[in-house]
Amino acid sequence: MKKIFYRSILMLAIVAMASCKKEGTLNANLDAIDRNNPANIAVDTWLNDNYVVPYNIEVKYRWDAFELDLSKDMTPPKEEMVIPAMETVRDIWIKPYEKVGGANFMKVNSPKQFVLVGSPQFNGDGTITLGTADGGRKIVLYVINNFSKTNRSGIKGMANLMYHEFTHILNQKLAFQTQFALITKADYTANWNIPSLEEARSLGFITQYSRSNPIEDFAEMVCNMIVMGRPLFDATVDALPDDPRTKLRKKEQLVVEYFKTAWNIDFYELQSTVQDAIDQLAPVILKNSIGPNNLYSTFTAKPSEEPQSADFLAKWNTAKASMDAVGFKLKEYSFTYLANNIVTLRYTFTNSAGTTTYYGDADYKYTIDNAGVTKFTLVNPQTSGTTYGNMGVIKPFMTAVDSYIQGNDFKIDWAPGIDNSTKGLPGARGAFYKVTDPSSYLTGALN
Amino acid sequence: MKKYLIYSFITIALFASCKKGVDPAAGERPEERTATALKTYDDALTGAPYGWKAFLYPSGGSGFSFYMTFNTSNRVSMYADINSTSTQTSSESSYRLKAVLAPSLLFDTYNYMHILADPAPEVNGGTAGWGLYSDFEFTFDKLSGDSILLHGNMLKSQLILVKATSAEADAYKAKQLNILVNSIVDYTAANKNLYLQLGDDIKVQTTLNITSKVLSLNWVKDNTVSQSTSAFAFTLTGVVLKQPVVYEGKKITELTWDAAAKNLYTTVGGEKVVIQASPTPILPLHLLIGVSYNNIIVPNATNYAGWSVDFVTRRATAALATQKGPYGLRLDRMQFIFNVLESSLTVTVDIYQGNNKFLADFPYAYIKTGDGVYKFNAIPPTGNAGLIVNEMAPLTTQRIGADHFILDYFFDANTGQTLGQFKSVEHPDFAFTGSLN
Repeated sequence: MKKIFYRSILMLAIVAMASCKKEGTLNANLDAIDRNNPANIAVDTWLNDNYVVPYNIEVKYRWDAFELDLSKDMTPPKEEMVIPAMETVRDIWIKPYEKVGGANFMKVNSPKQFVLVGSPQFNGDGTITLGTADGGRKIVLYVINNFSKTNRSGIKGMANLMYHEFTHILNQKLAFQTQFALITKADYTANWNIPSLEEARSLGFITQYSRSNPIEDFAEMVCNMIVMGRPLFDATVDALPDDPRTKLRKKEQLVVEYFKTAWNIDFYELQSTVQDAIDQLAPVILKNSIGPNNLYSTFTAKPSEEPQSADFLAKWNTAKASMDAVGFKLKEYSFTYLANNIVTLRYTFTNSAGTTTYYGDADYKYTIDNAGVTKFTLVNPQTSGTTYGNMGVIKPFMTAVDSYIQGNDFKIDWAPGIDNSTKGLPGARGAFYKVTDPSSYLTGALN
Repeated sequence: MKKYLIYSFITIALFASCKKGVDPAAGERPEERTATALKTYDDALTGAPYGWKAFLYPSGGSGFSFYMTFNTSNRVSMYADINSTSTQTSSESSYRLKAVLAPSLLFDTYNYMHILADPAPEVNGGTAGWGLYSDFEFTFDKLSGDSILLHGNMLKSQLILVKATSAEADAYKAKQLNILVNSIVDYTAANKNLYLQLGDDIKVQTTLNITSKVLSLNWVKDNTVSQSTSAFAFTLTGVVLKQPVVYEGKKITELTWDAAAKNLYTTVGGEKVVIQASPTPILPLHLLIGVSYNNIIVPNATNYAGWSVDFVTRRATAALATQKGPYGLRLDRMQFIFNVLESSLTVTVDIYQGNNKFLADFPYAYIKTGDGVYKFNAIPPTGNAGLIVNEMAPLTTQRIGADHFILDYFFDANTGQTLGQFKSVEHPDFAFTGSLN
């Protein structure tokens, strides 16, 4: 009994000691240790105005090893690369989402921190990491030091990365449909980087990395559909055999459905908005892309079947009528760019029954100046041969078109109203605009 | 009685425990001490009126020098002896002082220093993923007088900062570093065989490897080769070594460029020693093979500088025999790979069947006399080599495995290249050469 009494006293004493609380503020000044506020430079002001104030996004470009994998060697970015890179991120990623998802979409959903790294991150297996996202909060962009704002493939690479990583973040907020993982469930593999892209496509994956797991697959679908643009994506998928094509179309459908139901975003509108933005930043300049051994070496037009400028159509129809009068049906014309600044103009026509096709060729010397203005001068004498001989026959009836081509300077550019995402692809439409009157032009398909 | 004792003890304990103002850790708070330390370093860095000379020795070897000026708004400007831009153009970036485990100096945006640490090999070579194993975040080790010692946080590279003088600051701005580096690079390119004589008549081969930034001394005493090496960095006057290189107790820490005489000299024990240039290599080849050079590669050719007529004929015979043989093989280059520890030589012959390359290894064990005469004893080859033993016999069985050989340098006057040459003792008309690697 006594023992219990003493013990209770002892307990009381302990409680009394423990409860003897001191009132005091916690006043350790940690700023002294972590001098995290270095003097601002122009880059900081720009980031504040363009990321912190409108979106509450921190862009960390000063090195902080603890944001990254501590076991790997990487370098900070060059200061002069920060603004160009972040301008591009804003234009190709934030702005398109704002446009299709509403002004507040990015304020709510965007990750709150970017970390910029100058070099790539090298992984043990020979691959390099270009970007990572974690916890819906942070996106790390690597290889900033190699970034160039006018390099189209570089910009596409960055867009690819942003849409890929941001898809993870969206998926972490609202999961994608479970049936997505079932479409190609047998072919996911940890060694995704070894089999070829062809093999991945033949199994119903858009890229090799898609094969790593369904989460990456979904993100790869999103970013590739956006960065390829719809025409290229369609062409790529349609070129595949039935089985992979069906699988990719099913995946595409689920992606579009996910964006609509989860985020009320029209995916195809987002896709074309991003294509426009990429084209705005780093356009494919047609005058540099046309010629022998270039992106495009032929231009083909069927003026009777395709939209034309009224002025040229009238001339074409005049020629057509003259040809009709002598029993020929005029079908199309084309330019084929050859070496030594020679371009062959070819008229394709048939006999009146339409059973035999003839070609009439003429060689022109062409020039393209820095402004993209081109001029065609008839070569004299012409090459000999059947097709050149044919031209001699129809020449009197083609005068209206010939004199239009020979008598004007033209500015080379894309056809009016062309979808930006087709630029640079086979079959894109280009035009020769009359310098003195741009409402009059030739237009056709480039290949 | 006992009760009273206990009660009074409790009472005392209660009062005592409520006393305020007892400091559990006497002295300043950790954050105060850290702040003081950081301020000391900060004041030192920004307080040097003419900036700092810095010597960075990456943990991957080699050495680099910098000239840096720190200002009070977190900006650092630097020159460096890395490339022709960095020696001539000052570049500005951010730096920061921060307590990361210990007070640290962080170079936190890209500058010349980061070129060394850049993991992408296309930037400055090195290992993919690591570059030159260098750092750009450093912990302060010691601040003493006019110098600061630091070590890298990640890879433990060594960084030494030394206060620069007004004259040195002016010289860096006048691009003197570039002029000096070019002088030494040109000098070492023109004079491949440099040596020092340090108090005796032994010629100590002195090699400045500009690419790897390593200085090495090699010398022969009692038929053994000894070596002393150190990383070096360029200074305004010459090169400075990471640690002294030592020959017989004599230490060298620095080499100085004499612009007038166009040579390098050092000071050993108060005495000026000029580095001499020799037209011929300093050390006999048989001592360096397997040590400085691992192999001699005899190229795929029908004739070559230093090949005797007999060798040319025998090689052609062997080439024709392999071509006509059952496998239709084309004889390509031959590598003579020495392993000094095992006293073995492997002759690896590249043979091509169409476009497919195969390797045929002919192993030999050798015995070498003190003055460098080799006797190679063939070990029966297996695998690919076993299939062409007879075809290769004019070269292997009849000569390399049969004769005694001496190894020597062969200077090719046309290309200015020094090759390694095998010469048969028994058949003076049998000799051939290959590049030293």
